[in-house]
Amino acid sequence: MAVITALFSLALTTGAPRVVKGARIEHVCGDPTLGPERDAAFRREIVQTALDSLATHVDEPTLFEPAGA
Amino acid sequence: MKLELGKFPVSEVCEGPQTAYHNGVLTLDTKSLTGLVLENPAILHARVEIARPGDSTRIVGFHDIVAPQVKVAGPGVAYPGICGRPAEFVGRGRTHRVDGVGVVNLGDTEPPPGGVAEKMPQPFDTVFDMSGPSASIIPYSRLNNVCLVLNTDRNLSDAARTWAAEDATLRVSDAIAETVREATPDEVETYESPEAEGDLPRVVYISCHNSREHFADSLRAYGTSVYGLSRLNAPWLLNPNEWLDGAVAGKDSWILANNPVITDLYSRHNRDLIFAGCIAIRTRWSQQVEKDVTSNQAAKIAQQLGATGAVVTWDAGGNDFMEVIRTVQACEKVGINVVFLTFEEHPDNGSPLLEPLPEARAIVTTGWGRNELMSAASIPEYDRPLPSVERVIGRQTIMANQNAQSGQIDSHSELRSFLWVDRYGSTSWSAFDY
Repeated sequence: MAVITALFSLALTTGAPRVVKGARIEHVCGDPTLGPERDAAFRREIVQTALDSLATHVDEPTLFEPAGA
Repeated sequence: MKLELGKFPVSEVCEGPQTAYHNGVLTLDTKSLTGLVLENPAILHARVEIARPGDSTRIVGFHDIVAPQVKVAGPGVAYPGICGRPAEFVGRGRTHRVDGVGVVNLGDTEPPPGGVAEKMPQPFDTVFDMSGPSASIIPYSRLNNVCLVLNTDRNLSDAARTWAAEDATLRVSDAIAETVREATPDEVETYESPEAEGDLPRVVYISCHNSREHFADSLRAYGTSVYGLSRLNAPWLLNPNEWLDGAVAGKDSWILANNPVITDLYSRHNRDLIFAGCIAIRTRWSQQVEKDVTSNQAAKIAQQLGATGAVVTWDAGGNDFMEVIRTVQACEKVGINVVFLTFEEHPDNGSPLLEPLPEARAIVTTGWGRNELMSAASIPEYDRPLPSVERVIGRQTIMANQNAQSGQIDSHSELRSFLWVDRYGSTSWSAFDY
C-alpha cells in the first residue's frame, strides 16, 4: 500500500508503509499553478513515484519524494 | 501594559422605554436597538428577543455571542479591527463590561417575515438551551442573552452578509455597553504585566485558531479573527490584555473575552508563575512545510519570551490538529514544558487525537462534547437528552443526529444528540462523557 498525501508526517507517524509526498491539500496530485503542460508532467511524476514505491520493499513507514513536490 | 476591567453584573434584563443599566437591571429599548441595526442597508429585518437563564428556550444556529464592553479610558475600541472598527491596539486603560450578558448573532437563521427559510449548509448546528441538563455545563446558558434575529440582503455575497450580521451584533453590544460608560463599577479587576523579581517559571499561552482562507470567499469575514484578520498568517505575539478587550473575536467572542486560560494564568501571575505573554497561531495551512513553519515559529517566539512552560489550546478539528500537536512538539524540543488543553474526536471516528505524538506528555481533556443517548438505563444527569422546549430562537429545524450529520427535526423537539465542545476549559465540569 502507498498513500499520496500533502500531510506526509501524519501518514508516517500513523504507520502508513509507503508515503508519497503530494503537493497540497487542495490539489494533492498536481499543481494547477504550473500550467497545463508542466502540471501534467508533475502529476505523472507523482503517480510514477507512487507506483515505483509499490515495487520497493520497506520495513517501516518510508517517505518517497517526487521531484518538484 | 495595564488594564482596569470594571464589571457591571446583570441579574435581570427586560424591555423598557430606554436602554439603561441600573443596580444590576438592564433595560432595553428594543425599538431603538433594532433601528440602530437597520441603519445598515444590508440588514432588511431585525428583532430582539431576550432569553433568560431557566427559560424553556433553545437558541439554534448562532454565529457569535459577544460580551458588551466599552473602552472608557486608554486607546482603541472594544473588539478592534472587526467589521472595519478602529485597529489601534488595545489592552491599556480602562474597560467597562456589562457582565453576565451575551449579545447573540442569529443572522439569517429565521425566514424573513412572510418569506421562506434558506437552506444554510453547516456541518452541524450551534445550539444551547437556557435550562435543562446542559445548562450547568455550557457557559452561554447562564447568561442573559440578548438575541438579535436578523435577515440580511440575499443579493449580497455570503461574506458581506456574514460581515453585516456581525457588525449589527457589535452595534447592539456597543449600545448596551454605553449604558455603563459613566457608571462606577462594583468591582474593578486590574490586569498588569510587569514581572516580579525572582525565578518563577515563565509561562506563555499559545492559542491556535482555524483560518477559513482556503474555503471561503473572504479573508476576514469568517471565524475567529485577530483584530479582524482571519487569514493564514505568521504567529501573533499578543499581550493577554488584548484578549480581555476583544482583540481575538468573531466567533465565540464572549468566551474569548472571558477566556479562563487567560484569567487563570493572570491570577497566578507573580505568585507561582510569570505570565510571559500570548502567542496566537493560525491552523489549516494546506502543506506540511507551512504547518511545520507555523509550529516552529510559535516555539521560537515562546523561547524568545523566556518561557519554560506553555499552555496550548485550539479551536478546530481535522488536520488543524497537525499545527497544534507540532507546536506542542516544537516547544518540548526546546525545553518548554507544555500542557495541552484539548477536546477529543468522537470515539466512533477513530483515535481521540489525530496524531498523538509522544512529546505531548501533559494533556488535559474536556472530552468529546457530543451528547448522545447511549443507553436508556442509568444515564447520568449531564448525559441525558435535552428535553423539548417551549420556545426556539433561531433556526426552526435542527439536525437530528449531530454525529452522523443527518436528519432534520423540529427545533422544539427532544434532542438526543447535540454538540458542544469546550475549547478553553470554561467549566469545571467540561465534558459530557467523563
